[in-house]
This record gives sequence, C-alpha cells and structure tokens, in this order.
Amino acid sequence: MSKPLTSEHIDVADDAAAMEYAWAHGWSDGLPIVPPTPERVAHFLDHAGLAPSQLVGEYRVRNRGITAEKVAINAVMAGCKAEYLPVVLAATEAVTDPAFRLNHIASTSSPWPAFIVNGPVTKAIGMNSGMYVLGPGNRANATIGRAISLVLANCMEAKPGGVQQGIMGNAARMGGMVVAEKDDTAWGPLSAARGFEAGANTVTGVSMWEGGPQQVVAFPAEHFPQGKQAEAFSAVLAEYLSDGYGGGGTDTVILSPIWHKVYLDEGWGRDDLRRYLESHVRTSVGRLKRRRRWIPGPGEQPTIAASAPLKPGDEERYYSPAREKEFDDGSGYERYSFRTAKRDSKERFLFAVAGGEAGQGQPFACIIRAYDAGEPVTKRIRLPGESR
Amino acid sequence: MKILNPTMSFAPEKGKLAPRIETLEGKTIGFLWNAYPGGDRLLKRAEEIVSAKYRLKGMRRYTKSYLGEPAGKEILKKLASDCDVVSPR
Repeated sequence: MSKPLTSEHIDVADDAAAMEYAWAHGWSDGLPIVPPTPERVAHFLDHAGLAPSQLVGEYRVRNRGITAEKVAINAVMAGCKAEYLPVVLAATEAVTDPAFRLNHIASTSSPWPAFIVNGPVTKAIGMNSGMYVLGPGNRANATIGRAISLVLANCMEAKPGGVQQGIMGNAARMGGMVVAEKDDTAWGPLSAARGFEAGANTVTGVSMWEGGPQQVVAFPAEHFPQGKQAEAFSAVLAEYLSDGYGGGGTDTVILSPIWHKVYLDEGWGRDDLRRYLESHVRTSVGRLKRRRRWIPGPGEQPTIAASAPLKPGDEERYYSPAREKEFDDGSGYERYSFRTAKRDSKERFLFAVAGGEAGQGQPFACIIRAYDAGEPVTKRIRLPGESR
Repeated sequence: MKILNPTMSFAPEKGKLAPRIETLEGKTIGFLWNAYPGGDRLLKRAEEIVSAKYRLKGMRRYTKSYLGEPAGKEILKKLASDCDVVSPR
C-alpha cells in the first residue's frame, strides 16, 4: 500500500477495548464490530486495487463524498471478507446516485435500501440465492448489508440523531436485505433487464418501505386453474401489491424458483408479468379512505371509519397516477409529484428470482414496496483489475 | 493496537445572512412550496394574509421538485434575482 490511510488512528488496548470504544462512540449498529485496524483496512483496499482517497459515493445534494478508505473501514467492522468490498462499493455508488434520492431514508416512515446482486461474483464470494435468502445465516449476504448500513450511518448520518427521523425503524436493515439472484433464471437475470451485458456483475439498489419485505404465498396451488396459473398467481401478487400505502415507487418482487416456474411453463417473460401488474395493481378509493389516505373534498368531513365519507362505488373507483390533480384546489402552485417520474413507465416493477426450491404446492414470493421518491439504481461491480 | 475512525464529518458551508428588510411594503415576495401535500394551501393562505396587510410589488410562486432535497440551483437563482423576500414552506 503506497498511499497512507488518513483516518484518525486511535489507540486501544485490545479487541475487546476496540469493540467497547466503537459502542461508546456511536460507530456501531448495536452489535459488536470487528476492530478496523490499519492492517485490515489496507488489506481490503489492496485487494480491491483502490487508493484510500478514491471517491466512491458522491452525494452531491448534501455535498458528501465517501472515500474508499471509509467504505473499507466500515466493511471490516461489519465482518466482511476483503473479496466482498467491491460489492459494498458498488452498492454505495448505487444509493448515492442522484436518481436514488438517498435523502428519502430520513423519512418518519423508515425506508431503507435493499439490494439484489447479479453475476458470477455471487457464487465466487459464496452469496446465498436459495433457501432462507433473506437471511440470516450467510456471511456474505449479512455482512455486505451490514457494511452498507454502517457506511451510511457513519458517513452520511443515516441514523437517529443524524438525519433519520424514522418513528419505528426498519427491522430489515440489520440484516441489510441483500439477496443474490439465482444465476440460472430462464428469463434472464435482473442485470440484463437493467441493460447490462450477459455475465455482468451488478448491484441493484431498491427502496424498501412499509416495514420491510412482505411474504406472499399462493397455495394450495392445486386450486389454481390449469393453463391459467400464471394469471392466477399474478393476481395474488397484484392483490398484495395493491395493499400498500398507495405510493408510486418501483416495487420489487422476489419470486421463488417454484413460483418463477409457473411463468416459464406458460411462456410468461418479465414484460408479461410487468404488464399484468401495471394494469392490476391499484388501490381503490374506498381502501384509501379507510386507510385515511384520502383527503376530504370541499364540504366533506372525516368519519371514524374513513378520512372522507365512503360513497357507493368507492370500492370500484381506483387511485389514479394523476391523483395529484385531485388535490389541486386552485392554489396556483406548480405541482410536481414527489413520486418518481418513472412510476408510469416500464420501471414500475422489478423482478428477481431467489429463494428455496422445496414446497411444490407452496409457491412463495416476497414483495418489497418502494418509497415513493427516487428510483432503483444498478451499478457494475468492479472486481480487482477491472477499470473503474 | 490501533483502530481507524469509520466516520466522516463535513464542515457546513459558511454563508452569511442577507441584509434584513425594514418593511414588506413595495416588495416582491417569493413563496417556495416544498411539494409536500397541503403546503401549497398553507402558502396560498399566507399570500392572502400578506397581500391584504401590505401593498406588495408582487408575489412569485415556486415549487421544489422533491421535498427531501434542497431546492435546485435554478430556483435559488430566480429567488435571488426576482424576489426581495422569500417565504418557504
């Protein structure tokens, strides 16, 4: 290592003292950390072929630039191996990209990023894409997610006392929500759908809202009509996806291999599923009123049961993407939606295939509803020797 | 043994306050909405109250494209050049 590490060097007696120091100074997420010694950090940077001062995450909106050295320190603390660092770096790039609108993680509703990793690197570093993929249990999945959480907490003030105002917090953050997609999906990997070439190593950062991932199970499968299973299974997904806060971000659906096979058997590709969901995921006005998400109109008063009086036909009237216009009472202010501009486009849903293979009669999926600002960002993972 | 500090801190940009004005009479006020639902109604009411109380030269309306980030440079430039006073919400 030719270039010095410029972070403050702190003397501690031993490993135990290092962990206590980290706890005492707010560096930890609550769990013990691996002491970030200069030797360990230098080894990580050498392995990745990066100078310590290399800027990795530039979040210009807050004039922040996170260096490779800081990412490496936090990755060591998280318990990563050196070979995981390129994935952590790419994930840091993804969430600091302006399109991700990272500041949304400050929300009182506690959104947090989740990540889908693609490419040969997932096998090379031993990531889990199979049973119990959401974890815990796999060192790579768990520590990569934890590293990102520590980087953002320690370098971007993404913690209470910093910028985060989450009332409840995000239970999925501790595990980090990093999944590897299965690399043998017949309809191609998520990375290809995101525009990358075959065999690319990528990380896709998505927004994870509403408390974290929600499991969907479609069984007993024998009750689904033959030849119409793809549509029936998609209807279940649409039912769950419609049951959200009514936001407009890009939702992510993780399909177990058994569920995915339903689509393969009936010739559905990603676009077929996306088109189905785009026309079937919708929240009725009645549901929005009962969820107190519908602002009363002129002369209307909220009730005990609903934020605006329920009217006949409300269950069949649906939230429209142009809903902002419903709130326009002539104030004269130009109305942008702070929802992502891409929500009406083909980016409305992302799909990844991961999870266990057992349970023929119990197809599982998992939905990750997105906060309604920012959009998913995919970044290439640059392995040692690859140019940046 | 030694350990490295994992945190980064950033010195806030030093700015200075614009000179305060003595009165709103004859001034152009810029109203900046942060795009959060309801804020536009609040500002519209603020416009009504202020324009009833003072003879303003003018009022301008601006909207941030996203509530969670600072107003963009374009809006800041317009606020500085077109308005005497800014009222954000």
